[in-house]
Amino acid sequence: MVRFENVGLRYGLGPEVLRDLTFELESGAFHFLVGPSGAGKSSLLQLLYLARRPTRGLITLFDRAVLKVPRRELPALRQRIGVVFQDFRLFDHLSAFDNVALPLRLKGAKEPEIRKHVSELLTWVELGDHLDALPPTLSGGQKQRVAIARAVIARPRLLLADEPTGNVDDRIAVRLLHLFVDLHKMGTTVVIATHNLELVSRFRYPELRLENGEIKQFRPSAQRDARPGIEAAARRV
Amino acid sequence: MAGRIRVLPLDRDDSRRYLPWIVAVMVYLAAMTLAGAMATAGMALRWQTGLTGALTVQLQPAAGTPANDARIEAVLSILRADAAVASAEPVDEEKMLGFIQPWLGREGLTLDLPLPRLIDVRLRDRASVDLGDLAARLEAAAPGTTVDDHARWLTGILKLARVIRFIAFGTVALIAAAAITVLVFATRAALAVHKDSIALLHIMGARNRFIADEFQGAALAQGFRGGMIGLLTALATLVALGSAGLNADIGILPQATLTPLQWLVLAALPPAAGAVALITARLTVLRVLAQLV
Ligand SMILES: Nc1ncnc2c1ncn2[C@@H]1O[C@H](COP(=O)(O)OP(=O)(O)OP(=O)(O)O)[C@@H](O)[C@H]1O
Ligand SMILES: [Mg+2]
Repeated sequence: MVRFENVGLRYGLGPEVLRDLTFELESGAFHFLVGPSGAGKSSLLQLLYLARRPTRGLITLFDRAVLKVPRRELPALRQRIGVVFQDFRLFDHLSAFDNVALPLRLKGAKEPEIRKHVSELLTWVELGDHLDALPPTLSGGQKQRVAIARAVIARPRLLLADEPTGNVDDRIAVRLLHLFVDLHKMGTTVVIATHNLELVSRFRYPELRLENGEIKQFRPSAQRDARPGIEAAARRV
Repeated sequence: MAGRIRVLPLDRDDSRRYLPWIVAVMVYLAAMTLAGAMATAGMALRWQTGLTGALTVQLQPAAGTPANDARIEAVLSILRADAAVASAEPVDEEKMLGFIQPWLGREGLTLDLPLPRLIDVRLRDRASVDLGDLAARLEAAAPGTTVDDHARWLTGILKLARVIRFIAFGTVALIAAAAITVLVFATRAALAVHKDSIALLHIMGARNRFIADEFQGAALAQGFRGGMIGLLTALATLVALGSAGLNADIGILPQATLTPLQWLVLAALPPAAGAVALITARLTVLRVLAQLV
């Protein structure tokens, strides 16, 4: 699903913020990406969602060498990736509904289908009363839920979330993580960058630890079965 | 396109808000140019058709022989006998004086000027008339008679009409070029203003065509709206010009009016402005996005 080989990234002429990253994420894996602030978590995710190109090394995504994908094929590749941004990046003049509907519209889905799925999902993240609300009128946690709904609505093959629970209380955080877990159960590969170690320990998925731009700890998901952890966490909610 | 959700608020940002007004000015200028050119060309055309079917026969009062009725009768009978002539009528003396009055003033008219007599001849078929022969026959019947077929006027009018049309087309082309240049810069500015949103759309898997659709939709609406403002202002100006009676004062010229087809040309300006804006925006966006890394 994802393979990094000796990947390095630097911003402009600055130092490398990611150094010699080599790892592989299997299809259907679920990983927490952890590490101190400034370690390069967001930068790594940007490489994964094809917003940046590595300054060196090789990235393989969906079995394709990313640097060799022709430009006109990138949209199709990107439509299979769902992203929750650390700063949400919602379209401020589009309603919560239209923000969440956008990935489906980009894929050319039919409007009745869009209406049904989007309202269902927004209701599930407890925003059923805010379908027409514009993002600037929503609280931080509400915006975050819209952002998450937008990332998962089109059932991406790869889901990348940058600090997706930073603005919500623990109850909602766990509920939101269950969205990711559900998607994971349907075969989506999930990578969640987070500082919330409590949540990480609750769900007991393998961790990818970044420190100073290097991978410190990496446990392929095959080495352990995470299922009991999810269910244990779910019971606690 | 109908009912499509606009992701980028293109009609709200400063980079494009002034666009309809610029388009309005351009369309106003284009409409006035076209209206002026078409009215002049139409006028020339009507004058031409008026003149080609007509001759003016002039009897000089020279050589001591007054332009008396006997001579006029002689000329008239020759003319009326000619198969090519539809009608031949002497121009009323009162009317002649009316023409001359503006140049000579009332006092001039009281002088006993020897005025030439004119005969207005309408032809059935201009091509079948041998002017030289006719002139010779008339001269024989009544010395001092000349025939004027207005050829001098005609070539001049036709040339003028051609020049006016050429200048009008050139002016409209220049206006269009200026409008397109403004649209290109405005579109580039809008792309810069919305570059974060566009980057986000790209990350979400939007194709450049989707983004171009956003821009062209807004451009079409703004171009059309600007075009309507410009056209309505131009129409108001034309109506004001018409009711000011400028035409009526220039008595010898035919009325400067537009045919229904010419009005249609003017009515096509707003859609044309919308189309030009749409195409310009689309091409500019696709071109700029293709250059992004
Ligand atoms: N656009 C940028 N230009 C220059 N340097 C950048 C840019 N974005 C990030 N950096 C640098 O790259 C390094 C890694 O940043 P990154 O945002 O990836 O860290 P992070 O692990 O996501 O931190 P946090 O947990 O605070 O979100 C930091 O030193 C940061 O200063
Ligand atoms: Mg970050």
